[in-house]
Amino acid sequence: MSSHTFPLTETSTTDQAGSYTASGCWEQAYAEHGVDPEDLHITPLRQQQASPLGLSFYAPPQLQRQLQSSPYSPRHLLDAMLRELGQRSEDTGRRKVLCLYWHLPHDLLDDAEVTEFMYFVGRRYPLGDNPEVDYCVGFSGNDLQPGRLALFKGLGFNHLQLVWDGQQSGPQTDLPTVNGEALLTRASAYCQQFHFRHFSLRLEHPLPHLERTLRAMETAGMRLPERIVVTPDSSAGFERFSEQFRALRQLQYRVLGNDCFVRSASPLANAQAEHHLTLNTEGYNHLGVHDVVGLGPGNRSSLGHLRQLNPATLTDYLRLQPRLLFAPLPNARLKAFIDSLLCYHSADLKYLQDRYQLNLETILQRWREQEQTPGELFSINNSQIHLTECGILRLATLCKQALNPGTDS
Amino acid sequence: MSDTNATCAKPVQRCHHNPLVSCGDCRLNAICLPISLHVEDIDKLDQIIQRGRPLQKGEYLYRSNDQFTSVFAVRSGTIKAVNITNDGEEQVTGFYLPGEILGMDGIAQNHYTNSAIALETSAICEIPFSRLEELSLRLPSLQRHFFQLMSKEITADQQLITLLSKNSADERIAALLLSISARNQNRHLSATSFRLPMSRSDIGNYLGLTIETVSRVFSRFQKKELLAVDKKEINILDMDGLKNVAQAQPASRS
Repeated sequence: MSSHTFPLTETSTTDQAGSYTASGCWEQAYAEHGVDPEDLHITPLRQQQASPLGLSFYAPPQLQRQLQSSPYSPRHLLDAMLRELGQRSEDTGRRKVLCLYWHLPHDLLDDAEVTEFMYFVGRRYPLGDNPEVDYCVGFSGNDLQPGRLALFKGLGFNHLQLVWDGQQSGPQTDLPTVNGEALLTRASAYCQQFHFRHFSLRLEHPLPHLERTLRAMETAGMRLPERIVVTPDSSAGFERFSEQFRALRQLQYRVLGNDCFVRSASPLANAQAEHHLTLNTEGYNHLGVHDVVGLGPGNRSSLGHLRQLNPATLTDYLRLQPRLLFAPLPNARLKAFIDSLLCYHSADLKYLQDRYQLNLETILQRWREQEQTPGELFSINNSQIHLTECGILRLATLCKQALNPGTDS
Repeated sequence: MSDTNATCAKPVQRCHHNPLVSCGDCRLNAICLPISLHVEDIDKLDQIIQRGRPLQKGEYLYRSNDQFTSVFAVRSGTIKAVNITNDGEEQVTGFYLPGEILGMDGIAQNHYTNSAIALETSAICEIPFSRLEELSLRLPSLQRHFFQLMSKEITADQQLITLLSKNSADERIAALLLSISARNQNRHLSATSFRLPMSRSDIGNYLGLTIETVSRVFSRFQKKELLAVDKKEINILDMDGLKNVAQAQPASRS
């Protein structure tokens, strides 16, 4: 199994016992399948496609500490990322970028460095001056400052994602210590103030009283996050996971996978209803963005079925050590089935058989063996399989069994 | 800008309208592009700067949709940026004081999105952007300073948008006065006594207020002894009081 860590995205799962989130199961399968030992080199990944692209910018949260105890400075990191930007854009620079994902910790680059980086991104890729793009910047509690928000808004980011990592604002800022609920309401207010088109919440740690806070915000006429992403680290037991699932459904959130909750009438909910959702390594989108180029140490790129992982340590990244190429999954055709279940909680078995030569009967039989009562997890009608709520809650187990038929949940 | 009540840190070496003033001699080099450059590198910057005749009041520096070629530094005078709305109305989008860089709105789309007009006789340094880029590759400190200016411009623009979208007339005008005060202070001029280079009409247009509202607010501020106003001359009497009215940090380009 690969020992490299993936950036935390809504599609990452862990191998921990009791991880119930399903959306990252396909990418997790890559991690478990491992690195292709024949292919340890920098692969150009020449792509001639014209389909839209996502760009992801990431560094591990602990990178600032690594920098402090190294002979390097943030300038070195920035220069390395600009070099990588130059390399990557040679092959993919003509593709329109409809999604951006900023996962870099905010204490790494100052405002001028962020501006410089985005300036050169704009020179290398056609960034959209178009309200339909989804350019997302993540902020945790310590980082949520008006000046920084203003900068990112001005740089074209239109999606504010609050990342709740359990860290309260503390002495590093001038703000008093705040809890998660207060942070959520503050983020909502900033979204309105700076006219961010999209607002989402990513839970990397349990947020107590989330449902109560959302109800209070709704009553007060405040803006609710249109998307709430639950990561494995934030689900404290299956009972709590189920409880939160049902509570968010009652608050009129629809669910994608079983860990991404979206407001009715939001773009993702509409895309689900109209069957044009796309799931990539960064999560769900309604813009048809399958491929993502990931810049930064420890970041991952996905182009078609190819997966690359950047060196995770600062030193290796700065020294341009080769990216790792993951071996393609042997059962790649299953992705169509998995994606259909994650996006729509249903799948057309006959279509999958005709189009992909997928005979899923073995998988379905294994699933039936798990049911305590028939129809508990799914039903099949006219070759359409539909998951029940119980099946959706157990989707991570079902997908894992589909991908690894020889293992138990 | 009136120097009657100004406090200068160093004497002016030459007339700042004189196009022959080099970056090394310019009194604004402490805040303009040459900041943090070594003495020998200032000459390299100087070689790419173009200094034409001063602009007269009402004259265009550039027009919206003109091809982007240069950014500009204001050496003296005041420039206003305007945008023409879909209805054909002129919308003031910013004021640029000496030492400030304008024209950066053209970088992303290769044409200027605003027009720039002189509010009074103004001396401008033109910096051809392609040459600035070339020079920046050789002078990292210049590139760094340029992106610092750009980030401040971007941040200030967004903060102004939020200011305009929710604040009262008093808060908006107080924020503008504090912004001009801070920018003057950065140029080692008086933070409390200065001349407003723009008209009440331009102020109203910029802040989304009528000219009558602007005049009423100024009168109100005078009655509250926050400031003394004599036509375009402003004397801030109660800085803390004015800051209280503004409530938030003013958007500052400096």
